[in-house]
Amino acid sequence: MDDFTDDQRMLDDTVARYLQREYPAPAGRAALSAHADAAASPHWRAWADLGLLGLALPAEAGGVGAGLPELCVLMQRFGQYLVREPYDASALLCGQLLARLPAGDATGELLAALAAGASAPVLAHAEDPGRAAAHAVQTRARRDGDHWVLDGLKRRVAWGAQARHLLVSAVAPQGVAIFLVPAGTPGLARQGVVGLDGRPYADIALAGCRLPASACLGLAGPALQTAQDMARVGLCAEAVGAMQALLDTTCEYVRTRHQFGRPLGAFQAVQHRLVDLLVLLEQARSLTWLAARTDPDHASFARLASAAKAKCGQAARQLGEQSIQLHGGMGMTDELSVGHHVKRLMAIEHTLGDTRHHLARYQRLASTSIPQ
Amino acid sequence: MSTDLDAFRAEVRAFLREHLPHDLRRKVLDHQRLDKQDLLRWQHILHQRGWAAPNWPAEHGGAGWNLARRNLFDEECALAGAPETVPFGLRMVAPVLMAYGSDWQKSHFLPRILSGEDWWCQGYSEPGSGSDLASLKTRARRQGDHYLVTGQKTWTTYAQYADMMFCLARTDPDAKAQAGISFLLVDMRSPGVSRRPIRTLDGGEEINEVFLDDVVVPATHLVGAENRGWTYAKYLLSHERFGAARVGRAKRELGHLQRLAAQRQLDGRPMAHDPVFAQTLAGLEIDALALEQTNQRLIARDQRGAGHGAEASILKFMGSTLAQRISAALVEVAGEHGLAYRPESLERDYAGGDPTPEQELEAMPGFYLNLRKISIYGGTDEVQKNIIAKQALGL
Repeated sequence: MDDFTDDQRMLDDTVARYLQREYPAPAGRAALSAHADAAASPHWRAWADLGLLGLALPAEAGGVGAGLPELCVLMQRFGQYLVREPYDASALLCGQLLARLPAGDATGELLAALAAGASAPVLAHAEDPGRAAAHAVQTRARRDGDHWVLDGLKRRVAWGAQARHLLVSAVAPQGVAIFLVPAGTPGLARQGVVGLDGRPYADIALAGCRLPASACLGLAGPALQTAQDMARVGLCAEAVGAMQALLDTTCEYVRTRHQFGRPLGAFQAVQHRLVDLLVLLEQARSLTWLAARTDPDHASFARLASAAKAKCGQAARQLGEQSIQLHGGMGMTDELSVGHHVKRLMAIEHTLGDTRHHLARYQRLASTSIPQ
Repeated sequence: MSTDLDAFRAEVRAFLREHLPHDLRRKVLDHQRLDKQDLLRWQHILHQRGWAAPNWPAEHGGAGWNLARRNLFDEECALAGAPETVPFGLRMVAPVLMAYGSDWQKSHFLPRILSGEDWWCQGYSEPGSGSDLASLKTRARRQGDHYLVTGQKTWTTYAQYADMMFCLARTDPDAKAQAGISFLLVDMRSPGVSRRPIRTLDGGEEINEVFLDDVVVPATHLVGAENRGWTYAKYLLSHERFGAARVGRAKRELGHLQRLAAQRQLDGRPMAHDPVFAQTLAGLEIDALALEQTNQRLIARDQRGAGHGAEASILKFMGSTLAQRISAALVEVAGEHGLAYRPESLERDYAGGDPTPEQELEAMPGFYLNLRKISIYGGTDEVQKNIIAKQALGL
């Protein structure tokens, strides 16, 4: 993005400098364990020290008090450098969710731990999509004396296998509520697998998990909805960063790779395809920043978040496929960053609702505002 | 949004409510063909208010608005159904005259452009020179204090109304393509100028072939220096990033599409509720939002001097693509009513009242067919992509 404020530019420089110096390129990385905990990552601690984990958390929660635009400045860079730690799922989504739930001892402590890098909580919300209406929660929470008892199955929770704290959505008598489930709770079983984008994903079974009354942090309601939409916009910014990296890499490649005695980039078929990708990227960037600069509590925010997510999904598919194609055989190899960006973009597509879901949601949310 | 802009918006809306004639508005909203009288009528109304040239500096009688105001004015005019002023004088030759014209050319032509006294047309394309404009063959030979111009121009929009034509002609036949071209101002009423209308797909006749046979053009009508015309010609095509995206038009036509899709019944329900069409509609809405934002972003970046120079090309390409997709969706909404399209569907007589819903739908194929031109004129999509590849991607 080109019209950052001075503060945003400083943040952007800080993040870029750190990642360039400290964060290895994909080819030089060790594979993650299926049971990795982000809080154990040296980068996670470093970001806590830089104030990045609490970037958009209120000061009283140990945060910096910035907003969604700043989160997006950071996420763009994370997309460019292919960061694997769950900033999106933990610092952003759980941070915003906790900050929006009713204040209490448990939320306050967890927010402080999050901002300090001591814990990287993740939200266990998604379930088997085939079992019920889109994104419906089937996990149950029932009262048993002074306790809550949770039963259910959460699927594909990024970085969920080893996280010290899980935020679990479950249907309580008053509606869907958020429960704090610490590691080691009897009845909690987690199975991790390193997935498409190299991040660990866990299936999480809750079988009669007994929790104290204080584990119920509040009704999910608008807090979850807004936090998820903020995370969606953050993922869009990450996707924009990744797509820009793909376009830059591909343009550089076609400038230097010669065939038939001239650079690939001298062929009009190649040029025009790259222009189509640039236009798609500009559209995705525009919608991402439109949403990023909208007040998350404004009525239009959800619709704009869906517009951005749908457009980023369409653009990412094209950018990904064409970047591989224009790199020719090299695009098929694991040693270039191209494939890693493509796989991360595919993962983003299937996180917090895919293009199809968000086109449908956009329509649903827009249908009330058709001018007469 | 600042209160200053809010007040300006209220002022523009009040002006449009009071001064935009109902019949003109209907014609624009229904995609009807506008004739010279329609277009001049609106320009006179704007001129009286001092708003005929939002893009001109105040010293030449322009509105002297900043970007935010121009954006707002364009959008409000488009949404209200005001005709677009004809670009050839106000937005094409005038900026060239301001940048490169002589003092006499500025003082003589600019006021006449502003008032609509002179109607201008564009003499660029030739039968053998379209995208490869620099291959043009029209010749201008210097004889004393005038040039003799001979050649043929084509696709000349509104040549039938024009008093003047800005014309590219070769003054040095031995120089390499771009180097020997000059920029001349030709009086269309001169002996030796003739034209033939070209009928287009929609049945209209807004474009022409123009024949120049030893037309006398005074040397005072040469803009800038002889053989430097290519520089001015390119300036004309690329200096104006603003307006290339045509955001207002896209929003108006999208609103039109949404209204019709909500009204038109298909399989026992509004077409807007048809799942396949609803997805088309959502995609267009999202892309219209993206166009609006990209337009603001790229223009602002360009104004900060941080652009790559291909902004106008990106915006024109994006805007044309979206407008054409919307027009295709309008034909889809019209469905079988479009079968009844005939050239007269775009020349309705409003004396008998507003059109029926069916008449409105019948006209859609004409709009769609006419709009095929926007990815061809002013540099085809392919030429724009060449420019973008070079300037924005460094290829």
